[in-house]
Amino acid sequence: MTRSRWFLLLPLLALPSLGPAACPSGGPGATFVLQQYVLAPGYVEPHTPGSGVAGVEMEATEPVQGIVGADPDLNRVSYLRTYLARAGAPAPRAILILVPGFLGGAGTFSPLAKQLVQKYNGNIEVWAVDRRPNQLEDRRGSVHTSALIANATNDDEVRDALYSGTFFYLPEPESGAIDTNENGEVDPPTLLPDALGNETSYLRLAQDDMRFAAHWGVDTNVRDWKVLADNARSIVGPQGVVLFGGHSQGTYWASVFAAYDFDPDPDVVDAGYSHVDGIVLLEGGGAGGPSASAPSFASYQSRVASLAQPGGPDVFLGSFQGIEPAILGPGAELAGLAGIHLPDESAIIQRTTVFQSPPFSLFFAAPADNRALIGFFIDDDFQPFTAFRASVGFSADGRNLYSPPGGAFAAFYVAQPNADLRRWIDYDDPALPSCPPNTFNVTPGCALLNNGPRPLPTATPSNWGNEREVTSLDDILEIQALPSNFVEWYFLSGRSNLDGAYGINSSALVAQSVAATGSEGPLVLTQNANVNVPVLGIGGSNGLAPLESSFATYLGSIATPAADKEVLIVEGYAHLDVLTARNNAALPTLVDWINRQMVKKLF
Amino acid sequence: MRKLSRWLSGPVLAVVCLASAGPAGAVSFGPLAVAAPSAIVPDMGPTETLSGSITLSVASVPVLSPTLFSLTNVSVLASGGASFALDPSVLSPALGVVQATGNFLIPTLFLHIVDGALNFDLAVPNVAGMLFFGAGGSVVGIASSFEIDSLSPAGILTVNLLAGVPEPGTALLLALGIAALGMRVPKEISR
Repeated sequence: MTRSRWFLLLPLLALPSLGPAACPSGGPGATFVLQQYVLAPGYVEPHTPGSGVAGVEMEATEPVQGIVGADPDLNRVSYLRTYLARAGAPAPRAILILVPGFLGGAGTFSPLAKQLVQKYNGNIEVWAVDRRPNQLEDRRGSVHTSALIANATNDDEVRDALYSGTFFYLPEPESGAIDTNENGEVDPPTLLPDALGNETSYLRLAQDDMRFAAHWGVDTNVRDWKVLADNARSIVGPQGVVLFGGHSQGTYWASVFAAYDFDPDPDVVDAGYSHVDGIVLLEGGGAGGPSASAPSFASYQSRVASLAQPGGPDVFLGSFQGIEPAILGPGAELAGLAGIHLPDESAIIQRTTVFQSPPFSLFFAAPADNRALIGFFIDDDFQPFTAFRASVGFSADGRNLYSPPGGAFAAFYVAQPNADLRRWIDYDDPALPSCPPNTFNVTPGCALLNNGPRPLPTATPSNWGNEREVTSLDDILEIQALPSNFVEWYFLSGRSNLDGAYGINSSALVAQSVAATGSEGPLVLTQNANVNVPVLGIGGSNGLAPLESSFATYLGSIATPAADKEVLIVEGYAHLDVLTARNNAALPTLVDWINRQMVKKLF
Repeated sequence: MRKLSRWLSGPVLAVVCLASAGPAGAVSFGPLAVAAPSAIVPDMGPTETLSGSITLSVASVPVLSPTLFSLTNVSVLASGGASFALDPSVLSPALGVVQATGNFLIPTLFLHIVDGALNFDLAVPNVAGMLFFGAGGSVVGIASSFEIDSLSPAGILTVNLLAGVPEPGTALLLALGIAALGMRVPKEISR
């Protein structure tokens, strides 16, 4: 008989950020939870550079080549694999594939993935995917900075490394109006060798550099992920478990994956849900129904053609509320490194042109230290957008101006300058201000606020309950500069928005396509009503899915038996906390649910 | 005898008994007494004997087809002082499927171990074994064997576990189970 063999698992050590690292320190019982950035062949989308389809394949522009090489193959899928190093041990029994949300990178799943793999002692792996544009992020400046820091022998060298990276992405203006490193000079942009061998600074892609992304919509994404799901199945075997999930907008992606028919023959169905054993929805309710404005097949084709034309509509999100993701992303990487290595010094990123200008200068006006800057950006009490919030602590060493909810903003505080730098109080510090004795709209405000009683599960979703502080700022800092990082620099919007108009059901489009071409066409969302696999929804009472009703529309649209539809709402958790919390309160339910799916497969 | 705790670099604390719910409407059996030659056998170092009890439940008996079952209580003490219980943070820490033959598989067994200053959870994947059935399909014994890499000089820890109703007939069944599972019976116990 074959015996199982497994490792003793003790509390998680400080982990190497990436790659199969050398043996961890810590002696007997140390854990071997590792992370690996995997770039694998994906679905061969014919218009994409590297497809090799003559007459269809689009060319890579010089900036794209500068990032990925002269002859790139962009039909690739990348993911952050979290696993247990275990030579000679059996394959994991489960693999959980997760898709990040709006503007999110795979790194956002890192804390949850580590906890899950640790809890299962490696009997599960987590594959957190990045959408295709992740491979087009010019991370040279961040990698260069990390390398310099790794070899630094003192704080001056660390500081210089951070300035070097900063001047790669966010150079000082020639006018001299901004002196980031306060040396009285205008420093030149940092130049680094690119993939073509040229010395260049940040290769920030323009819309026309990514026209091939007109063909990176739902179809391409789900076919990429089907490659992963099939790879996962080959690892866990027929009695193993492949689970598919997402966070926030990633729950939309998870639900459209399940609803997709991968076979173009109208008489044959190869449904996404048949490739997985369950769906996990984290802080998002999945996709809804089609909108009334969903275009006809002819209009759809026309709009795709427009997106592919130089000068056409945007294929990726250039700006969100004045914030440019292609600046926010690299800025976050450097800010994360600065927060880790020079936590108490004046925030470097705050002294760049971008942060000295609106909207950043409006929200982050108070000079802060490197650590506090990230805290102000992501904390549920200071971040205006609910979708970007985690509960990482508070800052009470200065006046906090209360801003009531309005427009796209939830209620938040704007930290005001004090005589020194604003500092951060961590999530587990007993000095965090609560209300009472403080008042929510009076300085310093509250880290721990009671948002009232729990509404009925069927009520319109709204925040409730006692807020909690559960996420370590250290963990958030660490995520920023992973290859599968925190922010998606080029968030696809053109084709994705077009596809999104059909919600979870493109049957009308498919019918028109079959009539016109005999094929089901470019977007085949026809199987949602047949989805019958178990679904677990997890929301946070201080997030975007605060009630059972947040999941009701999706759960009501599928064929999964009622007993296999489960929802957990974690009181006090903000939107990101379900992924980033230390000692994640959602973990026991998630572990138990996965465990039950494993057992089901044995029948 | 060298303590298990020394493999894990720490002294010994007390036994912890923690229970979990079995399948709804299930039939409970136990506590079944952990019996010789239950032991932890390291690659390097002395063997530790095991004592204590295990309670389990089966969704329905007699087991005529693949059936849900679970360990609902594990209270096991190693002679070196380490204690083993079910992980209280997992709702169903020992859920598995048993076949009509008695062979079972628990995909992941979630344990909580207290070993001196060390107090930690340990998930053990793919725990296979056998249930022994008596009259009316009742469960009179359980046997399992699995290995744990201690990541220490002790090397691989082979865990041999037998538990049953303390009756002569059960002892015979368990003996057969030992043979079926091919357990590494430690010399000092087998003598």
